[in-house]
Amino acid sequence: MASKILVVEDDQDIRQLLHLQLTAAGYETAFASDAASALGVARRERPNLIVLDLGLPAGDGFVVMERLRSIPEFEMLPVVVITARDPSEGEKAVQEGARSFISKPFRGDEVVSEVRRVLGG
Amino acid sequence: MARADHHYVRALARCSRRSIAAGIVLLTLTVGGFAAVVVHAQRESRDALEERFKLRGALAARFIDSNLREFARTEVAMAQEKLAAKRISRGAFEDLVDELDLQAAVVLDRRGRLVHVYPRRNDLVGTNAAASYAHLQAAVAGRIGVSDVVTPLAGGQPIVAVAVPFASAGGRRVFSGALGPQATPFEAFLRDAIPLSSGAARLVDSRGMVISSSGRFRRDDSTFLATAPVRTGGWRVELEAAKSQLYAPVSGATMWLPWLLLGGFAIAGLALFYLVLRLLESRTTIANRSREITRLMRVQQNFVAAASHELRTPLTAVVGFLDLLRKGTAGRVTPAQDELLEAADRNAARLVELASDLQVAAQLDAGRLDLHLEPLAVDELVKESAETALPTAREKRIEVEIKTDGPPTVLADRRRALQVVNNLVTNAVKYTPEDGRVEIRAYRRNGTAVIEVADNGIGIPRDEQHRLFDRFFRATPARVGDIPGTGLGLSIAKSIAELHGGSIGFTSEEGRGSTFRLELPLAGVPE
Repeated sequence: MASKILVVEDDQDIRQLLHLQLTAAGYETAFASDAASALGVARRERPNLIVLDLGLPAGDGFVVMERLRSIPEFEMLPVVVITARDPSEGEKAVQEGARSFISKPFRGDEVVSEVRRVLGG
Repeated sequence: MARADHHYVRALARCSRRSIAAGIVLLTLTVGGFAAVVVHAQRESRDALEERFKLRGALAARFIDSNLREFARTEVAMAQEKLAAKRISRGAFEDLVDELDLQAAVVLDRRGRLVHVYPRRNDLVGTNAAASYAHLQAAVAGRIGVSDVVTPLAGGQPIVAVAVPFASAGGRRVFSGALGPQATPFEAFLRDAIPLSSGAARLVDSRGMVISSSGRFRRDDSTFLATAPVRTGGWRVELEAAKSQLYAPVSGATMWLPWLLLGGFAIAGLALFYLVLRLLESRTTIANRSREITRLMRVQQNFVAAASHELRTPLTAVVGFLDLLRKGTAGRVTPAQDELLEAADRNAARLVELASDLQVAAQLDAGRLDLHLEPLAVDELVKESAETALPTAREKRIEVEIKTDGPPTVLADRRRALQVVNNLVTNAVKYTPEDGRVEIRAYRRNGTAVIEVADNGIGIPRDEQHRLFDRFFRATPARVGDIPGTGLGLSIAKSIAELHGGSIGFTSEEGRGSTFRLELPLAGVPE
């Protein structure tokens, strides 16, 4: 069964891009566009990995990570952070439990390779 | 920020007002103190001159007194010699009067009764002499007596009498002789007492009647008067001098020079004060300007950070979708289409590079560019950079040559060091015309690794060289030649080199080429 990736990203074009890239690589996708709905979608879809944008409306990626960590079933859920912010923010996210971070703009299938690495490892 | 500035300026203005007040008080006190000292010194000098003048009067009085006593002693000696008999003969008395060259004379017995008088002139000494004349009474009592002016003669000459007691066979008697001052050297003494040309001197009796005088007295505000008593009798000496003459030693320059100096001092003080104020003022201005510059720099930094941030998400979409298109995700792509897509991709890549440069610039501004230092072989860095630049170099038929003199190892952040060397090498290829030549040299010198990138390209005009590392600055030949670039690369490269404890410098000649020199600290060499 294909792994399911939850993409939490407010930009619709980036959501579509990731959808195309991830499905082309054989993953299933689910989407949330803000921090508030992210948890609900995660409960419903039970993803194997979350690709999380740090800059989100109504509470940023750090808020989403904090909420995930407070729920036992999502405690071990791997998170790959993507961000347009300063790389130091990405490093901070890694310190707070994300597996890795990718700075925008990322090229080609950078995200797909990272997802594959994290899930395969 | 604006509020804080405002407070700062207000505080400085307050400080200036305080220093103005303090300065004025200080200046006033100093000048006032000096003025008091000058006034005091000048007053003291005048007092000293007046004291000297008074002393001269006192000396004249002493001189006159001793002459008077000398005269009295002569009288006594003569009287004791000529009038010693119990009965005094008229002849002997008259001889004595002539011998002493007196105007008149009397002899009294020890009770003050008149024994002889010659010439008999009642108006001169009086018949009941002992009762009416203080000088005769003093002589009867055994002391020398000196009379006030007795009677002016018709010629206007004042007469005074000197009475002395003397011993005779008939007991103590008194001899008193009247004389005109011309008979004594009084006048000469008085003249000697006044060497000042405009001065005057006189000898007066106890009632103030003039016995002898030298010069005329004015007795007004322009003169100074000194009085000294003569010990014998009630006489006194009076000296008068014009103040202009008396104070001559402390007049003229002595008087005005201190005031001139004081005036100069006050003006100098005011000038200094003004300069200090201006200095304070300009300090305020400079502080304001530097704050404004800091503010503008922050605006620029914020802009760079914001621009970098806002470019990222749309660029991600552009680059990503182009990639998907070219992979055929949306259907087969013809070679002609792919050629266009490739051009779009190439330009998107340039934008990605710009966004990345802006991000590094923003990180450098914020002091948040972290270095992950590790030992790196310089020749590998150089080779990797050369390979990056090789496709472009081939297109322009530019020969790229690498010369490494042993492989020095530096302590650097791999990604950042590569970014710096890449920047230098791609610049060299970019700004060198077709069929040109780029030489990359790496060697070790004085504890540093040196990487030189030399080209025979368009070069940098001399008058623009000092601005080459300014952010967004691009030299004229690059702009005129329409060579793409942002003006960010070198400024970032320089900052990164300096962050490593290294440096970047260059030499260049317009139209002939440039040589950039990157120096990085060697690994394992203490700083």
